[in-house]
Amino acid sequence: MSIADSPLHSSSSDDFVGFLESALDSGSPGSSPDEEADDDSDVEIDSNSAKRRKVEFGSTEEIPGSTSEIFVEELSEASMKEDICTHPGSFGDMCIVCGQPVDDKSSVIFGYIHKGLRLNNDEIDRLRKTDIKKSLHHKKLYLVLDLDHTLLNSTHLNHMSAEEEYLHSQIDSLQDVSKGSLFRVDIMHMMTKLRPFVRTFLKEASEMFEMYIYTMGERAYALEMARLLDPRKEYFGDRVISRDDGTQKHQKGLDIVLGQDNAVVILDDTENAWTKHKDNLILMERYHFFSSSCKQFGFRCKSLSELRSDESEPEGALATVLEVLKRVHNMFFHELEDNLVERDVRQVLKTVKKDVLKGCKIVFSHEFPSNVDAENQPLWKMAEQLGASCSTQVDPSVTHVVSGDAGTEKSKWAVKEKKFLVNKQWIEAANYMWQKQAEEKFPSSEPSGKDEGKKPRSARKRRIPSRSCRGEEFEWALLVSTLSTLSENQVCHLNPLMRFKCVHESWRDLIDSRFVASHLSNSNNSSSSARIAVRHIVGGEEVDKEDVLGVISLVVQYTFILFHLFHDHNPNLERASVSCSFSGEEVEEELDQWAEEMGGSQAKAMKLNLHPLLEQRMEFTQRSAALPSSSQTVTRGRGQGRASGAMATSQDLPFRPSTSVIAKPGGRSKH
Amino acid sequence: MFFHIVLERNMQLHPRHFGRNLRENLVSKLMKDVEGTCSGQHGFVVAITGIENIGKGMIRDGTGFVSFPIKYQCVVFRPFKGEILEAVVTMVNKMGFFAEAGPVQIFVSNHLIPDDMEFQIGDMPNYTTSDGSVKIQKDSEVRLKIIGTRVDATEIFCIGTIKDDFLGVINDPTTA
Repeated sequence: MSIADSPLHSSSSDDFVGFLESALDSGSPGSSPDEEADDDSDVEIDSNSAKRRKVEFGSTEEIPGSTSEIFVEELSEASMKEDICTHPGSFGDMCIVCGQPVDDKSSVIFGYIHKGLRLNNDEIDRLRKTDIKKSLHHKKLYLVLDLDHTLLNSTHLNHMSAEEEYLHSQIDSLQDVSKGSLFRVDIMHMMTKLRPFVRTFLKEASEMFEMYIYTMGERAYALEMARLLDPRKEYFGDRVISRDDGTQKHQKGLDIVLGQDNAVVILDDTENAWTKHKDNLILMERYHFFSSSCKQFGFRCKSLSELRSDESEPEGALATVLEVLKRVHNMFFHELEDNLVERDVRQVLKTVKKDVLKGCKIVFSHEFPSNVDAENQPLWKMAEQLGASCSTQVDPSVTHVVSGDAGTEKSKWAVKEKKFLVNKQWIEAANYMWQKQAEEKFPSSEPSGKDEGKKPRSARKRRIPSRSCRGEEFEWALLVSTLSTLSENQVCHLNPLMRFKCVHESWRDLIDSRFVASHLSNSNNSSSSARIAVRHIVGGEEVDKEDVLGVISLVVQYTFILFHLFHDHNPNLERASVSCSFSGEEVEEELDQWAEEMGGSQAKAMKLNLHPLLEQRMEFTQRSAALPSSSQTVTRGRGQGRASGAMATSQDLPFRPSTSVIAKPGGRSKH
Repeated sequence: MFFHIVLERNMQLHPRHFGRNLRENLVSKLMKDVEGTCSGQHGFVVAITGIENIGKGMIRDGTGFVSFPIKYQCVVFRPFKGEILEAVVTMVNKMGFFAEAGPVQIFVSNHLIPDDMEFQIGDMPNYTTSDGSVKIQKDSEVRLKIIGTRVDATEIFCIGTIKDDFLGVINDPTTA
């Protein structure tokens, strides 16, 4: 181009650009009406017939609204097209049909498909409608899959325990992703374990479903995981939705899934994420492979990785759920009578679920507090959803008595009448497995005792952590699971160690850890020993032996507080008895020491309060613990110093009857 | 459309670059700064082809930096409404398809794909005519018409159509 040589270059080139633009602009769509008209008449004949074919092909009422409108207009007066465009969506703030700039904030962002793409609701409906016909024609439904704890389990490399170090030598190569199941994703600093059976699951499910990934993880993480699960991009394609794409915070929604609600099945381990679509959801048993994941959910038992075992491939949760999906798919396409388009997979799910405990009549014994409506209890509802009929009174038609305790009247009746006597895990297991479970596996008695030693396969067993977790510790997991029913506000009543503990365990969602951190850094010496105590309790890290007595005093204190909390808010937990590791005498000794030191009325009251509690309700195990062996060697002076330091913090404990404000029963009903 | 034009820019240069290689430093910095950027008026700067003129440097008060007015020739690429463009398909889905022509991202919605082309799901999603003779899938080359453009700081978005005469697939990756 010669303009470059001209002395007026810069400005003239601008003019030229402007000129070209206007020329091209006017030369484009609307410019030559004659020409367009000619074109149109040709096109009209062709497309008219094509259109008619199309309309006949789909049932006529299907395509009302935007499309057909545009259509008709297009045919009659093409030049008017731009004026009547409904702007069904936008790409980079331009209408995807007419190219006009639009500023439509109401439309839904589809960032996971392409940056800058938005569609409005009419267009989404239209796409879903056309798509569902095609899918149903191919005998496919939609399946939305969660990643973490459903298809895989990931942990940050820093959060791996010492017992998991061996995994580093077992990682599979990222070169041939399709064969391995344990990967280290260095860019994300993550170790990921795919759930056993996942490859078969995806392969078989992809024949019945169009699959989406929908995770609460970040976009980069989601894509990386999708690459591991689906290296050839044959299952998911661009249908990977992450936290950044959702329309609501902390919620997953089907609004950005291009599938009609009545044909979508969701697999997820978190029911709360899908509040609007519970009917579509198949709840998955959580997959915990890494210890950090167990910790996050408050289980103190060894993780699968630490036990060097894994979920069973042929009987694992994914295999089970695949069977359910097959049943649902089969019923949807082959057993329903009505019009294909009107079928609803949600109804199918309900029907399938109702078969699980069909014919069972269940009586609950000592499962619900007497002052609440049994019909509204989650367990009751769950049983009904599974097709069982529930009752509060025993009668000859009853088939199962659900009780955690074999000693209740109804339980005895069940034994006498040769009815099945099971614990409530029987129902929960059936809920996860979508299959009636063998009653013998779930005898009622001391449930916690039964859990011991079993590998953590059933989600149920993992939820209520076994008492055997670690001899030298409290049942922190149990405590935390109860405490997690308290609100954030109530948490502030707890003292710093407790708070820290909670945060450390599984409360990251509930409490702002910065708050705790600042608290710890602000307080004096006592907090540092508290921190060590926490460390020790939590991670079994090496502790300075001289701190042990201080630690013990703190621990006793907290046992006590916790016990109060429990007792006040959840009488049911009495039976769950808090066990403490060091021997009773040592604690007694500690207590005496405190009383001596404090001398004040508060201390006396405390001791008075504590003693009966200790005697009546606390079980101290006589097990030799890691801590106490050294406690004898502690110099008195030091020990006192610690203890008094610890008491300083006790001033702001919620150690008053006023703690009952925190009352919020429900820790138990959760399970 | 490509243009070979002359643009002007004030370059600030750190005093440490002064010396024998001042001109080279200036030019390489210019290239780094300018190539690959977008402006609404000129579009995407593809490459600098030559320096017209470097003006007298002015010392900036307080910083010691010197600013040189530079006139340079460059090739720019700017899509226009109504322009016919050839592009490579990058993604096909039920909403339409996305294509790229260099730095330009183009979306062709299924409203603007001829009605006889139907979306086919599968490993390789595509739009195919009923007789199967024409197929648009990933990596296909298509000729399309731009009906809307928007230029960002680093990206150019376009809306395209292939619902017109002589538009559509020009090269099928499977047969090529």
